[in-house]
Amino acid sequence: MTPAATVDAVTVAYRRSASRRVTVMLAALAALLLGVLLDAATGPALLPLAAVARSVLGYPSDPAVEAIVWSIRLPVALTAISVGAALGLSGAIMQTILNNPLASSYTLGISAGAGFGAALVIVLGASLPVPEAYAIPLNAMLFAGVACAGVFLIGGARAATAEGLVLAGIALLFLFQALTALLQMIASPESLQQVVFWLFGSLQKSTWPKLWVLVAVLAVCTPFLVRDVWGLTALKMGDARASALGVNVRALRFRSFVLISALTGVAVAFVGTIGFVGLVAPHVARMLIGEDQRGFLPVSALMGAVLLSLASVASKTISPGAIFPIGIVTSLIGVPFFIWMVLRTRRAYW
Amino acid sequence: MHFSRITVRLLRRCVLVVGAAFAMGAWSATIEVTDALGRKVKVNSPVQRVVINFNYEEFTAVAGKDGWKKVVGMSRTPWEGWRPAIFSRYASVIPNLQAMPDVGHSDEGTFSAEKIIALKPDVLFIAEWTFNALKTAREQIEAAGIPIVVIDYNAQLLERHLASTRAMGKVMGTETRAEELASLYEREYKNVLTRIAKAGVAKKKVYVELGQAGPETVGNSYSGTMWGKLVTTLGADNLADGKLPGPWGPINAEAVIAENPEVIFIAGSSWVNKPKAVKTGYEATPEITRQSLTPYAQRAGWASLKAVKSGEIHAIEHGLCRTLFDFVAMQYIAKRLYPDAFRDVDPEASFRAYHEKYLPVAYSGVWMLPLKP
Amino acid sequence: MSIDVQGLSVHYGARTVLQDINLYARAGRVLGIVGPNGSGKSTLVKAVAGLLKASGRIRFNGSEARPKSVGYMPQDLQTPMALTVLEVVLLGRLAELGLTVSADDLEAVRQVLQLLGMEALAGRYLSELSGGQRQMVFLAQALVSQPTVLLLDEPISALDICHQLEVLEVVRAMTLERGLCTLMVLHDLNAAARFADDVAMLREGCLVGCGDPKDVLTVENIVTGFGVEAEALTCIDGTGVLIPRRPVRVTIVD
Repeated sequence: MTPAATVDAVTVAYRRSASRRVTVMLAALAALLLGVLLDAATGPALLPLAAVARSVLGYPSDPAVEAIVWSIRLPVALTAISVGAALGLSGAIMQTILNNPLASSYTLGISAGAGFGAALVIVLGASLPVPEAYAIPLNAMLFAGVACAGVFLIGGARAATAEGLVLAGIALLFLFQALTALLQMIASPESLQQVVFWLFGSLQKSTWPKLWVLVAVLAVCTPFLVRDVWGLTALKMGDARASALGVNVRALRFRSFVLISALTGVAVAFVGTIGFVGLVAPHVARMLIGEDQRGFLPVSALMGAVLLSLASVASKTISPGAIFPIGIVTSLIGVPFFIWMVLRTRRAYW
Repeated sequence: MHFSRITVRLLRRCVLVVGAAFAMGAWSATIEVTDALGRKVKVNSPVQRVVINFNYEEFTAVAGKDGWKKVVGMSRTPWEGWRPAIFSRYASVIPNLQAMPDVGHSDEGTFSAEKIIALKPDVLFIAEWTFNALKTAREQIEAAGIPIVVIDYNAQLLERHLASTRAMGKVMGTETRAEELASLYEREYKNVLTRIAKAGVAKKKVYVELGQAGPETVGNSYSGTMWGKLVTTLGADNLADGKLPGPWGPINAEAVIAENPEVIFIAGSSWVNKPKAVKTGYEATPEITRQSLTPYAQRAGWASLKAVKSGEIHAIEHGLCRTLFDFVAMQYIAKRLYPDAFRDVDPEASFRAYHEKYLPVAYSGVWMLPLKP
Repeated sequence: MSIDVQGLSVHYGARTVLQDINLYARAGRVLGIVGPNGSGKSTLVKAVAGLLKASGRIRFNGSEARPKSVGYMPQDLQTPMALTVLEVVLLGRLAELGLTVSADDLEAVRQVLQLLGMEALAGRYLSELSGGQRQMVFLAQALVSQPTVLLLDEPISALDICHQLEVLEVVRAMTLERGLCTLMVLHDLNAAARFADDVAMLREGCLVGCGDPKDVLTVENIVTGFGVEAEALTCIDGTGVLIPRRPVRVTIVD
């Protein structure tokens, strides 16, 4: 093998993975843009596409159309991609640090904890001394943090192995689901309605201020993730190898849990519990781009955003004129997709 | 001749144009309305497009049948879904009711701010429970410049009944009629309370249950609202008080038997697809109503209840509460609680009179009836 | 680089896994560590790698400071990962990696892959490789940061004989060429005899013997160390081979 040929192999491999990363991300961004436009164009008012387009592009439009597009539809569309990104990202981190393909905020009780926090406010009126509008989201974030802490403390009691943390997460999932069911039992019928709709998830309460909070949290989490990108990749090779390479595995897991709790908490706080996005998005990302976290993390976020955006469009078009609960749509999309992925074991990714 | 005809036509047109200009200028005024929650709302009068989400019979009474010409959207479920037989009667006399666009129902999560905004109404009449349940939606609607007037008959409070009625009248431009109705309600309401004050009889224990799902299921009772509020206003003991986690819900069957109520009201209606429900309404006859009520009296353990033994178990139309004519229900219930004080009061006659004067559908059927003839 | 271990002890809670270990490993030589299961071989290597809390002293070239680059290759637990050979080897330079991969990083990877004859596999996913190739990739990962110490925990246990020989030959060649100090845990006594310059035998956390393979891997030591009766044979080329015969008969006393 001549030196020239051998140099090519490594460089070729490197260039290929780099260009693949770029291609996938650009394609995902394009899909995202499409999703947002579709989302803005659909809704119970059944507005004609031309009218919506005019309004979005800034041309003077009918005030009713303006009101609908700018104060209802655009917040919903942009919240969909922000929440989707937060969920996809937290799912990706969780699957990496726990080395488990079934790990996500939903399956490990973090979302359930947030849901319980919300139900506490709705049913019992028990909350922190804050203005009413923020009581539910703040309590949800608080309990997402409690759930995360629970997983970390219980699962990491002896040695923070991946298996221990997953089991702790499942235990907490059952715990919070049971507690929420208890609250539902003692709830008055009106509170019950609210709790149930919260548990199904809904994008319809999106407003611009809430959106800015979501974006702010995403922005704050990003630099921390960038710092840990190689450590997380190393973690994929197992705790022992990662430690050998100098990664402080326990500290990395702790930091990651804090990030997960923030991302999940803020997402669930504003739109309720929406499942499967955090589970499916990382798997799609893994199929497209492998587990180098420099690509895996952003693509998971993008896939989550695209998925939720499309789910939002679907929830509005399934029964025209009404809005189908989005949590149900993501489950209906997520489960068959997941089964399909499990069946096609072309490459053993896990 | 030719020339003058053209002139006349021209003149007529001018007059019309000028007149219209004057009309628009004179009539386009902003009025301030105080709604049931005490909110001061500015509305452009006269309103041409109205969206309303509950209390349709009240709206019809206040705005008249013609008021419906201005309605462009409604929540269909609380009328068409909850009182289908009544809805179809009104639909047969109000031309645009059958095809009225649906803006969704908050309990089902289908209430759509988008749809309301797209209908471009000049005002939105909204029930208090919807107003409080949907903060985001109402902010979006207000942000689109649509005034929201809250009406509340559910609380069963005199002030709110009157405020709601007057607010609707002011917005729809039928203030005289609204004032008439408000005075009627106030008069009858106070009449009932005065008689009760004079009666000085010991408190009776009353149990009210929604009789929709049949005797095997315990239906909702009410506390602090709707029937519950009515019963306590009338000076009786509402069995549901203290037993419900919220304003309404089913009470444990054992608790009912243990409390041994003296008067029982089962709220019925003319629901569709509810074969075991207690039947009341325009199409009901005494036989049908009694037939549907009897299984309730035959519930396990009920034969021993004071109410059943003395024949004080009644069917009453659920749609009578939280309305402008709930004074009729009050009269009926009061008659059972204080027979002597209300001997000369005839609730059916009151209801018939109300229909004749204020509603476009004819009075018929059974609305309140004891089990024993 | 030489490693001087003095009085090394490791405890897991109340259990003593390693008891007062003393050994000396020289640069440019392979030290094979053998012993039955649970004797503390992996623990010893982990302690030297600095991954465990241990009492006693470990000196590297006379100083207590652990060298920055210690190439540690843990047991291959077949963890699934969707990473390419390039990415895995790149991770060996974790300490130096920024958000983007520099030309220096790529060059280091290129060199080590060339050395091991694996350049062509750079773009392949780990899951597509054979067991032996996987181990070579991890070996490359251990070598890419130019370590002076190489610590290998059962590098050949899961491999067939062909790949076993491949890996062992590379390790030995690397050690000699670059003057590494290599500690290698092995189950196969004959492999240790052939490829290690020195052998240390552990039993229940204690050192049974340390020194030249011929002196340590004796039939008597096998009996005491492993509880196995063995026979020593000599091949035509003079290398010694141990054939395990039967477990030592244990008489149960009433």
